[in-house]
Amino acid sequence: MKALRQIFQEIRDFVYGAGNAVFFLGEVLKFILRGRIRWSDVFGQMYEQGVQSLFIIALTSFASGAVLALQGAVMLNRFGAKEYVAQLVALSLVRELSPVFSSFIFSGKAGARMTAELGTMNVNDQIVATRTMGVDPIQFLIVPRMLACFLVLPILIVFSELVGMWGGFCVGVYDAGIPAAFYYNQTLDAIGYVDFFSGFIKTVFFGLIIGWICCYQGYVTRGGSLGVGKYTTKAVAFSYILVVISNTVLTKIILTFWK
Amino acid sequence: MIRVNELYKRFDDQAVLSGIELEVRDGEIVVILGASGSGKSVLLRHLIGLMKPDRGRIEINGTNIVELREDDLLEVRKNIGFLFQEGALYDFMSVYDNVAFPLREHTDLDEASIGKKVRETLALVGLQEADDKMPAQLSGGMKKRAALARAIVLNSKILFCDEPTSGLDPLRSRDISDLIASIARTMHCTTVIASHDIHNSLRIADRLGVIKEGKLAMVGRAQDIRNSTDPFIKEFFSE
Ligand SMILES: Nc1ncnc2c1ncn2[C@@H]1O[C@H](COP(=O)(O)OP(=O)(O)OP(=O)(O)O)[C@@H](O)[C@H]1O
Ligand SMILES: [Mg+2]
Repeated sequence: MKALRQIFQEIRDFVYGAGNAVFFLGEVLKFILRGRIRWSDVFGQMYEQGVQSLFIIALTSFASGAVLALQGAVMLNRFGAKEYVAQLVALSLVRELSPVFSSFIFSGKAGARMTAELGTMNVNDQIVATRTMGVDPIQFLIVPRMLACFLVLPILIVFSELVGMWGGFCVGVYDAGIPAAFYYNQTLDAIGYVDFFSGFIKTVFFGLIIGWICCYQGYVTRGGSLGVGKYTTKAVAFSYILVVISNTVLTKIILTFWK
Repeated sequence: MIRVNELYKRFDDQAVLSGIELEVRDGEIVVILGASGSGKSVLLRHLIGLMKPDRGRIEINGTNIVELREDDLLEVRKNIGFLFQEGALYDFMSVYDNVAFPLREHTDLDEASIGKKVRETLALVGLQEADDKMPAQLSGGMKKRAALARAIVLNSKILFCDEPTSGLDPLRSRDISDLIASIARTMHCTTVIASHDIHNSLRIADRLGVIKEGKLAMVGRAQDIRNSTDPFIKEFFSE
């Protein structure tokens, strides 16, 4: 009985939280649509979030591209189709791997930092203090962060795709012995508009999801430094889950209408 | 002029404010005392519209702020300074930028005039040396001074302070109390202070009130309180 009540309460809290999160997104959009955007703060945040994740995204992408090429060379060799390594690397990166993996990394770096920052400001009363000074904290603190997230993630992902293909190129040329010019041309031939944009559309969604969840969790953080830890982990976990789920749904939708 | 009538607020099953009545005249310093957890901070948060009461009126210069929407509340708050218990300075900005923040948001002053005003205000609270420090580099007392500077930099005619002396040693407590009192007197600020520092409150307040079971048990001058025969008041002030 007690357990049942607890489950019921958890569900109620979750629904309540989800409703609040939607309302929160509405407030943010209201400011953006009214043009109440502090662009200098947006660019500051973009720079911070971008620079923070750049190195680790580069490393992961290079390694993923290289591994794809290593495995691809072995697998394709069995069918005597080694020259298709470039296509395999490029298409996997552009359509799936870069958008999803870079979003994971981004939410663990920039997203977690955003939640922790806002959460700390929250438990130190800096967010209510903004209100007492006659400034809306959503406009001042949230809008620049969310907008920056939305704008910077697609850039990071294109960067990740390029670095990943370079990783594949290095393995393909130096390890598998494919001629450089041939590999290069194969890559360019492989990626059509469809491939690029079917990946790119997802990144726009992922940017929105990560910014939204991480800012919201920071904005509702309670309970001192313990709370900051709790809400930050929650933000990252929710981001992962929503990125994975929405990726599946979006892939299905995109593939249905656009091949 | 601040007038509070019949103010009620409960959280879940805990009644925190149950019928607060309070009137603060222009330029007056009123201190709200009360044990920890008695609802002083909750009362102050209602006065600036951060919390909505279950029922009751809060009039600030004739406007009932309970009925205002958030957009209008933001306007009202531009004329009110609020000093948080821990200061609540933005920790990503220097002390200078913190104090300049309200000026940059709400005035059309150029950077030179802002700089002049910020330095004047920091000098007033005795922090002229610390303007390029970050809040994390300040002591508790300095944080409160910086936060006070930020609260008064727009020359607001109303000032609310939440526990300005908590966490400070007796000397610093006296200093910050005197500072608030002298600023309130020279700028003719209507001031409400929540505190459990009886000693300093008796020194600086025009009138004092004590929260007991969600009501203001007594609002009166220091001598009225000393002469009071009410057993609760006697016991509260005997410590
Ligand atoms: N947002 C809230 N939700 C639920 N309960 C709250 C909330 N804010 C305050 N309370 C409760 O209201 C009561 C009064 O709290 P308040 O912070 O006003 O006390 P206080 O008089 O300022 O105490 P202190 O001197 O320790 O600062 C406390 O019991 C607290 O638990
Ligand atoms: Mg308090």
